[in-house]
Amino acid sequence: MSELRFNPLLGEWTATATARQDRTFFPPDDYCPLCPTAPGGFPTEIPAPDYDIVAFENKFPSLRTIPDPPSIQGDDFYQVRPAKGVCEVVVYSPRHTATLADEPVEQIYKLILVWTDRFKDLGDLDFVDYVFEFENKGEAVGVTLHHPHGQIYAYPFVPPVVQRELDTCRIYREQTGRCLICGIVAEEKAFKSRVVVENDSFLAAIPFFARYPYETHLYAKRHLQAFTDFTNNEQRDLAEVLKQLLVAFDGLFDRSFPYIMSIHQRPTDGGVYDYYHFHIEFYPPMRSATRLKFLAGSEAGAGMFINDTLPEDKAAELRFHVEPVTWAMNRL
Amino acid sequence: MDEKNDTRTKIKMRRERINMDDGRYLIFYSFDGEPAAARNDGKLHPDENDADEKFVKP
Repeated sequence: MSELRFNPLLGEWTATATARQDRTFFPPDDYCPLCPTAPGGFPTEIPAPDYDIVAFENKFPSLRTIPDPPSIQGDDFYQVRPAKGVCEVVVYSPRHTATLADEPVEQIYKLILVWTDRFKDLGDLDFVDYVFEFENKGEAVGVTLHHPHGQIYAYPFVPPVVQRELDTCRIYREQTGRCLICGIVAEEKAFKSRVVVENDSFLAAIPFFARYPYETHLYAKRHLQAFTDFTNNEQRDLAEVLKQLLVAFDGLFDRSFPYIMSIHQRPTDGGVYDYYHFHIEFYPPMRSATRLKFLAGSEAGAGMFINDTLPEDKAAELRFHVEPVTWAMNRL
Repeated sequence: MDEKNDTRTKIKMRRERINMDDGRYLIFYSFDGEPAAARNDGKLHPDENDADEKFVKP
């Protein structure tokens, strides 16, 4: 059973999804639901002996295009609605043990084209107000399947974190006539010490206000709101800077680095959001090679994060591990 | 880097959507790699990437 229940205290929706309690959890290596189906082998989610990138509806979704009836009756005080939306899995590669950082830049470029297509496809659905493309990577963030993949949640509302960003960006534009995130990009370019890597089209920095030690934000330099606004160059520039950033993450402790990757784009509800600005946020839970940052009382209970490190120091650590990218077809 | 001098790979994307036995859909994305170097003949070419044609701002 799944439904959406409204929290009147916080003014936001929560989804219940009881079927997810029994979702696939660390299957043995010889069975992976995201690997290709070998000829004569046990069928996986992907009915083909090979593939490049695949997207499919999640078998254990929190949102469905034809949702179950709610398990409980709502009323004026406690609102309930069906959990209508879409949950997709995007499988980055047929290689079971690879991560996105391990993939060549060309594969990351292909993924950007797929993300663009999914954003357009799902955003065109009339019951979808927001397309959230993201990746959970690593056991430390609760990943249940190791095969490299991300997810897409197409919500029937604008989710709260994005709504807060939209509100602050809109207010800043009303007060100053300028884009808040364009201002952040300008500040980071001028200050330099928090920049991790940049190219013609994108800049990645540990934010001035970072909440996690290695929290990193990746901003488009041009004022745009979604993948569908990108030029061809920007698609390839994003592939490069993503490759560089992900490899730098892995270089920090010389191991595959867990993170949540959260792609923030404009809503798809038909509204005007020209005050908003495309960016990607990374929330890595590691604060050292052996220690995790946990969300404790101040963070979870009061919403104020405590960062035990300085963004400028962490950015310097990450910069050390940034390497140039080589395209396989690059003509020298 | 301007488009004409960008020698990085440009890719044409194709998609095939199928319906699985339980009613869910699955989309296979396939790509034809095309080295931009092969097209760096100084001439402008129409963008063959189906996704880009729809999404690139005029």
